[in-house]
Amino acid sequence: MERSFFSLARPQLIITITLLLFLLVGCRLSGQGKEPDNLQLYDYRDTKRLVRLLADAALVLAEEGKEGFAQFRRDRERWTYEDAYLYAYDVTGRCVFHGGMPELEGKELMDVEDAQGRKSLRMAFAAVQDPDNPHGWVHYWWNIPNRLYPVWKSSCHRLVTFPDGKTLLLGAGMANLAQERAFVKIIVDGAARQLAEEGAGALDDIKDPLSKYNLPGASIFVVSERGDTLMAPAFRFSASRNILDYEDDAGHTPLREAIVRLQGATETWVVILARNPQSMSLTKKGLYVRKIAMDGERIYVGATADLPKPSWMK
Amino acid sequence: MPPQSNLVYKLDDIPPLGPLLMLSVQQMMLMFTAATFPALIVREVGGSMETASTIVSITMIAAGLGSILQALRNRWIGSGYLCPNVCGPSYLTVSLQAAWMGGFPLMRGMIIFAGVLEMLFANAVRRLRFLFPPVVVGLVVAFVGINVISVSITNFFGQVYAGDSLRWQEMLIAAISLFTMVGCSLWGSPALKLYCLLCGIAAGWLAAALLTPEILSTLEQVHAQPFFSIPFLDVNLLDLAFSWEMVLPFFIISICSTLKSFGNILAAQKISEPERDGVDMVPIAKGLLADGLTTLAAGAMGGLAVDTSASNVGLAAATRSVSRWIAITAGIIFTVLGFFPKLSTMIATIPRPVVGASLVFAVSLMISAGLKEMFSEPLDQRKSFVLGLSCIFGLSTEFVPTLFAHLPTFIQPLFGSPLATTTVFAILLYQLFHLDQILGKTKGP
Repeated sequence: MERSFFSLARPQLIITITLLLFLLVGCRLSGQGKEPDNLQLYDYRDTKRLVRLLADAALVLAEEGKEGFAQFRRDRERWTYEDAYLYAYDVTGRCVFHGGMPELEGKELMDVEDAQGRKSLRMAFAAVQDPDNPHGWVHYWWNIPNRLYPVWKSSCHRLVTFPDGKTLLLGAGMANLAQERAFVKIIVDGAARQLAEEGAGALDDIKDPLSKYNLPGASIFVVSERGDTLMAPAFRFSASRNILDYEDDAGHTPLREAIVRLQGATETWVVILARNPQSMSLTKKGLYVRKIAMDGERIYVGATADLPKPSWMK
Repeated sequence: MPPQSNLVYKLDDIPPLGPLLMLSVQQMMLMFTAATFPALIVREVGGSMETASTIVSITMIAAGLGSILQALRNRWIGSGYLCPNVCGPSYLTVSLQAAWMGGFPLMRGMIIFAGVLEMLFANAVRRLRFLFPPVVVGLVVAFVGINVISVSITNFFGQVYAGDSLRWQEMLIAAISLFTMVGCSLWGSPALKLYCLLCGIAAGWLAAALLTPEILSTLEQVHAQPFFSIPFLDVNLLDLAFSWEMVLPFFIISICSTLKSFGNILAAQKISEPERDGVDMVPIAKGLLADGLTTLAAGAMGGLAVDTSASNVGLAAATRSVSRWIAITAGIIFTVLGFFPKLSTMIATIPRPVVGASLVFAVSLMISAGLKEMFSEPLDQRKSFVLGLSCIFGLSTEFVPTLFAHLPTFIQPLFGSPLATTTVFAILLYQLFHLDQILGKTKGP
């Protein structure tokens, strides 16, 4: 086909200028678009959206005080989506706002227990003080309005101060939120901190199924440098086997690898490849390990986590 | 499939400089859809950002050079078709497994091994023309497209990880982008028809900036990249290792990868030379040789295995521009961008739904091209069974993938992907159902 150099010049010019502008503006803007509020900690967009919702709601309450609740009720489309909603408690545990179950407003719920006996509100007040838990995450069984069965719920929290100086706990939760690597890191960091501060006596707390360290699918283990398993991942008793020599299904020893990496760091992530009866290829899991000194000895605290899987991957 | 007279730029045409550059940039944009795969592996084995960046750059350079090699036509190597290379997902899992077992030296050693295997398979393919009647060719071409559906659609809907929610804004962005591409292709001026993908990407970017302004946060990745770097500087990247344990997984994947590339080059042949009667196995074998050599080179240079790209062949069909010079120029641009991480990362930040729209657009014509070829001759009862049974078993690998995990390990590769399964079934069943005719011919009356 005969074509002169300039026969297609006009559209080319427009597209070329658009692309060049895109490159120039992009390079110019790069570095200005940091994700707010440590959102890069999370992999899943549902988690990020929930943390953003909480941050936005906290701003409204900090500016408008309790008038903000009226706004939350009025503009439900903005402040409630799918299974996610906001709630707020004063420091005594009295519910002052509940976006999902308004009938709870006015009730004292500080000692309310979930189906397993966890005191979720007490855990939330503790979580916002926890330096290892930047968004005050708490996980518990809860009920979605109008549903018969309980669901596993994850909620983030922060303390908000009204213009009049009154402080309350603001939370936003969502049922069946995908397990983030950050959630596993939070419980392992918390367990490591408690063990470093209190010594082996903290092991009972960590093993307690009602404690904040109980996260489905992520069992904490504690092992000494010599290979003594102080807390096994699958049992509540201390197994005698040396889990440091655990081999994954690719024949690799991930804990040994983690220890090598921990020579120059205090925490690390390594990958475990495991056979899955539902898949022809090996499945990846993450292993998070933290190094601490406990009672004068070096020990390793860790847990496994499901890694986010690209949705196109079988 | 467009007839020869409808091609804007035929296989051996050299387009004028302007269109050549624009069409090459368009192909290059599609090649970027897989550019970040190497970074996934490096991150998961604990490599640094610098290592990830280096391996992404090296893989881009290898893919760019591979695209050039593939488009060359000489006595020894290269199919001569527009069938560029990208870092495909085929080798992701086994590469990760190798990297995990023996670090990057083992991963690279095994990729070189896989490249050698692909080159050996290429040699065997030359004498197999009789295995590919039109019905089998059409089926393979259609399944080259079908194989990419899951990647295309999940990107189209903007989903990153399984279980994450969808957003209407992203679906709208994808729809705007796709309809711009299709609209330009159907009703645009000749120039818009040629650059329909670029128009769609531009429209998608604009829609994304308006509907999801937080997309600017992805630009943070650009900021961290240097403007220029030579990725070969790290001498550790020359360490190589080999493991007998990894031979079987790499052997299996290299068979699947060869079948996939076979389908891609076959599709490129049908699109580029629609007047050709039957299949010419010589350029296909030379193309597979180029693909194997590129994989070998990628491993030797320190990058990840590369693969031919189905969506780029689909784009060539959509724009009716199949000139090999477009592939060569796109390969040169892709190679050069490997040395400019800031620019390449900037391009790689194309919003996910726009990537999905580009893939859906490119792949849709691939599927219809295959269907046309399939029905280019009347279907008798034997061919109908070949077609139906191959489709059932091929598609079952997508519909019920967990089922095949319970098969003995040595049979599993047969059910690894819709493309691999359909190709093998179609070839075998065609021969089986025509056995009486074949034997009759051999024995004579």
